[in-house]
Formats: sequence, C-alpha cells, structure tokens
Amino acid sequence: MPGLRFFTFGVYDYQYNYVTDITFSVTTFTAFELATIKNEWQATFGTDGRIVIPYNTLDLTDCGQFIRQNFLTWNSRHPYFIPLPSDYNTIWEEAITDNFGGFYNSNALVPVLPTSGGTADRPRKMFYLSQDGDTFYNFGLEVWINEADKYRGVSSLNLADGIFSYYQSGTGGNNQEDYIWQAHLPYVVVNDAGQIQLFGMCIMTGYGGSQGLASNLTTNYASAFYESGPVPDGMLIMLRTAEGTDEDPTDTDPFGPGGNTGTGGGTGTFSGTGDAISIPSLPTLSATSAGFITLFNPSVAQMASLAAYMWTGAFDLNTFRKIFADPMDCILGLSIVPVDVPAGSSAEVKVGNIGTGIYMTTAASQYVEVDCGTLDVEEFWGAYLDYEPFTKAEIYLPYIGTHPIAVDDIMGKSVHVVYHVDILSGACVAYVQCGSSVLYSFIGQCSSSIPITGNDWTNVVNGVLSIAGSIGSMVATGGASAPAAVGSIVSTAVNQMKPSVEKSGSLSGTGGMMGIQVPYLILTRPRQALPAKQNAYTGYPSFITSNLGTLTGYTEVEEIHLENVPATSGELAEIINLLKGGVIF
Amino acid sequence: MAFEILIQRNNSENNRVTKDVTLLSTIEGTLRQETSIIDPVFLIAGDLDDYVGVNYCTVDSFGRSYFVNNIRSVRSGLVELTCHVDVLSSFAQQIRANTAIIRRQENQWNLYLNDGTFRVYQNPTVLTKAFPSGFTTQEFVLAIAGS
Repeated sequence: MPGLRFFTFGVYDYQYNYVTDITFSVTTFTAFELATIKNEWQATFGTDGRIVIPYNTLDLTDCGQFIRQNFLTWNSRHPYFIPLPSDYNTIWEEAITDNFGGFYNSNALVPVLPTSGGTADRPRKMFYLSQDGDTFYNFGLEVWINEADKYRGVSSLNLADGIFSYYQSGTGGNNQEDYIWQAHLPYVVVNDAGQIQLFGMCIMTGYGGSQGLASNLTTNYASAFYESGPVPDGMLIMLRTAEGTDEDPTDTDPFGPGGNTGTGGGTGTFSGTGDAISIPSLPTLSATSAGFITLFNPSVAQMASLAAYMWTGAFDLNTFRKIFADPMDCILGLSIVPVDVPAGSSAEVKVGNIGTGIYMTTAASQYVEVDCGTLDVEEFWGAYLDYEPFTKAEIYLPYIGTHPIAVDDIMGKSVHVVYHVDILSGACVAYVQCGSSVLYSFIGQCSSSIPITGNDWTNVVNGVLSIAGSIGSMVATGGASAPAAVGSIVSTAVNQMKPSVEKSGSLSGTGGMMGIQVPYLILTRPRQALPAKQNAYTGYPSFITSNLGTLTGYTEVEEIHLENVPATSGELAEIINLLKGGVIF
Repeated sequence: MAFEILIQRNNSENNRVTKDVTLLSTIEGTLRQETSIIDPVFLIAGDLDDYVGVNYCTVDSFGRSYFVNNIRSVRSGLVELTCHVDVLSSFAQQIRANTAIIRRQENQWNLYLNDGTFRVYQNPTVLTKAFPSGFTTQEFVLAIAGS
C-alpha cells in the first residue's frame, strides 16, 4: 500500500481558535496535491520550498467535506482506498473489535461502558503514526488505555458526519473527569494486513479535566499525550492527502483543480499521397469449369429448334439419365442478358446426355465486363458553389437505379463506370471510379429470366411483383436539414429545406431491361444571383496575408496588428474597426 | 497657437482611405480655448451660406483631416463646425505600410472559400450528363445440366 503522507496545516485550540500556521516541505507532495493545496487553500510557496497556508483561509467545516469529496474522487483512480460503505457501522464494529477488544459503540455519541478492559501493554497514544521522514505509514486508531491510571476508553464513531468520539472513564490518575475526544474521520483505508483503518482530519477537543493533545510539529507527526492544565491548549488538525500521482492531462476531473497541460501538435507528416483503387479484374473460376453445367449462347432460331425438340415424342428413356425425372429438369435456366456473351466453341446440346442434334455456341466465360466510358465533370463556377452542399449529384445506373453520390467526389474529375456481369446468375456490379479510385460500387440484377415451366413462370412473376412493391415504398424521404451556418454569416447560397426525392426504385431484371440502358449523371446546380460589381461593394472571399499598400478596391480585414501609426488609442481602435468593417484603398 | 484650417468638400466615400477633396477656402486662426484634436469644434467668423457645402477639413498642425459632422450658426457672422477625425485619411500612409489577413477583397480573392457571399435563386438547374456508352445488346443464355 502506498505511503500515506500527512501534513499539518494549522493548529487550533478546542474552541477552534487559531494558534499558529504550519509549514512543511513541498517535496512531500505530488504535483497534483500541490495544485490542490494551492488552489483550495490559497497557499503560498516560500522561497525555501515550504508551503505556508494562512490560517484564515481554513474553513474547518469545509475541509472535511473537501477531503471527503476529493477522496471519493481520488478513490476512482486509486483502488487502494474504499469509500465509506453503507454498512459502515458494521465495519466499524468489526474494526473496533479487532483493534480494541470489544470496545465499540455505533453511530452515537453516547458513552457506553466498556464490556471488557484493556491491558497494560496497550499504548498510551491516541493516534500512532510511523514516521519515515515526512511520510507516514500504517496509521491506525488505537484505544488508549492507561492501566496505571486504570482508565478505560470506549470509542464511538458517527460516520454520518464523520465524528469520532472517544469516551474515557475510570478512576485514579490525574484525570477524574470524563471527557470526549472528537475527531473527524471521513474516510477508511484498508491496510496491507487487510485491516480497516480510519483516519483523516482530526479535531480533538477536550473539556473538563486536564487532558490535552499536542503535536510534535517539528517532526510532523502527531502523537497524543497528556499534560496537565485546565483545558487542552492545543489541538492537532491533520489533513491526509491521497497517494496521488500527477494527473493525467487527458483525464481531467471537470470538478477538480485540473492537471498538467502542455504544447503539442503540428507534427503531422503532411503526406497527401494515397493509393489508387482500380476496377478489379473479372473472376477467373466459373461455374462451367466444374463441368456440371454448360452455358450456351443460342441464336433465336436455335432456341426455337430446341423448344420444338423438347416437345417431341422421340425420346429414348433408356438413354435418359436416371437422375432426372423430367427432361425439362436438364434445362437449368434460360435468360436474356444485355451483354455480348463471349463466344466459345460450337457444341451439340445434350439434354440428359441425349443429343438433340442442335448445335449452339457455348459461352467462353461466365463473367463479362461492360465499359460504359468516362465522363469529365467540370466546375461551373470554379467556386464553392460547385461543391456540396450547394451542388448535388446523383448517378443513374442501368439495372440498378438512381443513387446519390457526393459531388465532392466527382467534381473536377473523370468518372468512369464499368459493369461486371455474371451471365449465369444475372448479377451485376457497377463500379464508379472517380479519378484514380473506385469510390462507389453498386449491385444489381441484369438478366431477364424466361420461364420454361409453370414454376418458372410463377417465380418470374413473383419476382417482378416484389420489385414493384419495393418501388412503391421508395417515395420522397423528406427534406434534408438545413446546413450549418458558415462562419458568422449564414450561408444564403443554399436551397434550404428542399426535399430529396427518389428518382427511381430498383431497376432489376426485366424491369431493368425496359429501363434506360446508358448510365448518366444528374447534377442539381444552384442559379447564382450576382448583381453587377458585387465584388466592388462587398468584396469576394479572400483570406490571404497581404500588405495593405498592395491592395486596391474594397477590402475587409480579418485581423491586423497595427503598428507604427502615430494615433491615439481611440483612433487606433477606430482604424481597426473601419478596416474590419470595410474600406476602399 | 496659430494654425491653418483647410475648408474642403469630400467627394469620396467616407470609408475610402485616400480622399478626393476639393479645397473651398483656407482659414487662419488661433486656439483660444481647450480643443480636442480628435473631435475639434471650430468657431469661424463668416456667413453660414459660405459653409453649407462643407463636409471636410484639414488641419496640418494637428496632422489630421476631419469630417464635418455638424454646421451650426452661432450668430450672424459666426459659424461653428463640429468635426471628427478621419482616421483613415489622417494615417493613410502608415495604414498602407501594415500587413493584415484579408477577409474579403475586390480584386484578390479565392472563390473556393465559402463565406456566404453569393446568393442563389430558389429554382436550381438540373443537368444530366450521359456516359459515352451502356448496354447495347440482348442475348440468350441457356444453362444445361451436364457437360
């Protein structure tokens, strides 16, 4: 367990009257503790490295709260310490039992007769601190028993307000009267031995009797001893600090004194290089490579011949493979695709290994690339109006539909659209390359299935209906929120609160085949209202550093440090105001 | 202190640094009482009619030029001019020697900076730009089980 460092900061008598200031070495504390001391108690740091805390800044009623508050704060960072538990009475009783042999009272200032006595070997000291220079360890509370005086003490702790009271009664010795010692002990520590120890700011008062408490302030540790006198003429106030470390400047308690800050930044690489993301190559492995299927690219006449064959009566069932119950099952699918199917060799169409006598061209590849070309998107103004949120862009892609794209991604660049089509499934991916990189990828369905059985017909119709349903749900989704104000001037160049409207739904399959077959961009551009010679009246945005003598015309200054102007302060202020408001050179 | 007042008419914008002024008359006088060189008030012997077109003056002894903010007839033959210093014109040379960060300028600008300068009409332009090519053909694809 880290050492607990105590320091004294003031001495008061039992009536809370100030006695003297206390100074102690600065090196005792961490930077965080020093900041706490300085900020909370208006401490000054002497040239000899000692801290002086003026007594009149010390509010006894608040110190405990401060300790409690800060302890609970520190507690989150220092797991060695635990807060006052809700069942502190029980814990206190256990602690008292462990340490004091059964002397306890809970939550009351009412003296209780001890149930058992102490022994002669119990120390006299009220509080014992082991000292290592200015560091104190193993602070514990021990019952004071004076066997010679036959005094026995009982202690109680009202943890509701942190007041510990010690009641002593007995016979003999110098002290006949009962008295109460009060100490504020706002927090609990579990030491290395697992024992619960109580310590904190102690304000001990005595009344009656001749018992008192003094502290050995020169060595900075507290001990209790008794001295004769009508009233205790000294009182020790100890304030514990947490074994804190310098605060992490990135973990500042908003309610605390803050941590260390420093300079930084500006050490970026300023590297603007990136990697070009190109359009990928077509897949090399296709379904036809497995040999389980063959893709043909028949002509219209060839399809008609096959259809006629499939309805012929001349069918040798012995030759027909037993895996098929219906010859039509051999035809996995027939579709129309909007691409040039790469031609392979000519081959006979075999249905269930039965030659039909019909020869068709096979498809050399399952995947086909369709290059839609490149479009250069040029700025209209060469100004911020060419970009978001003033100009907006959408792209229509055949067999996919219309999608919004960021105009910042395409403005001033070459936009290249390439499709990759799977002629087997009809799936297509459209790549939109903006400049050197593919920034958008959209997936669609570009084949139109031709039903050849009753099930096929049902599936085709249902597929179309589901697409139609999705189109119906794609209505205007409402207006975009107005963009945030630019700087201190609300931008008036934005068509605020204009709704964004879907321009198409999903154009897949048969629907896509009936749609537009060429991709295109949709640019929505504002119409500028530019009065004659606006730059002469309002100037245009600049943000350059310039010598004023080189400028002509209307000028507004963002910031200036006027120098070498033999004007009064009022005149200088007026000059700056005029320059910022706009002058004409 | 004797000094000379140039009675002028300013033909330029008030916020122009170097003014185009027309000299109307020159008056010589003496400071007889406390006078501010920032907001001076001149009592001039003369008819009001001679000063109704005056909006500017210069006092070289003060090193400043002034806007005439008010012309008052004190009595017959005595006119009072209430003035305020024209800081731009008075210190034009020193102002031009300074460097600043410019927010807006008539001739040196960067239109990629968005400061809300431009207004637009509420009806935007919608423009479509087609790509050079697309899907131009339709072909059958027949998938048959088996090789």
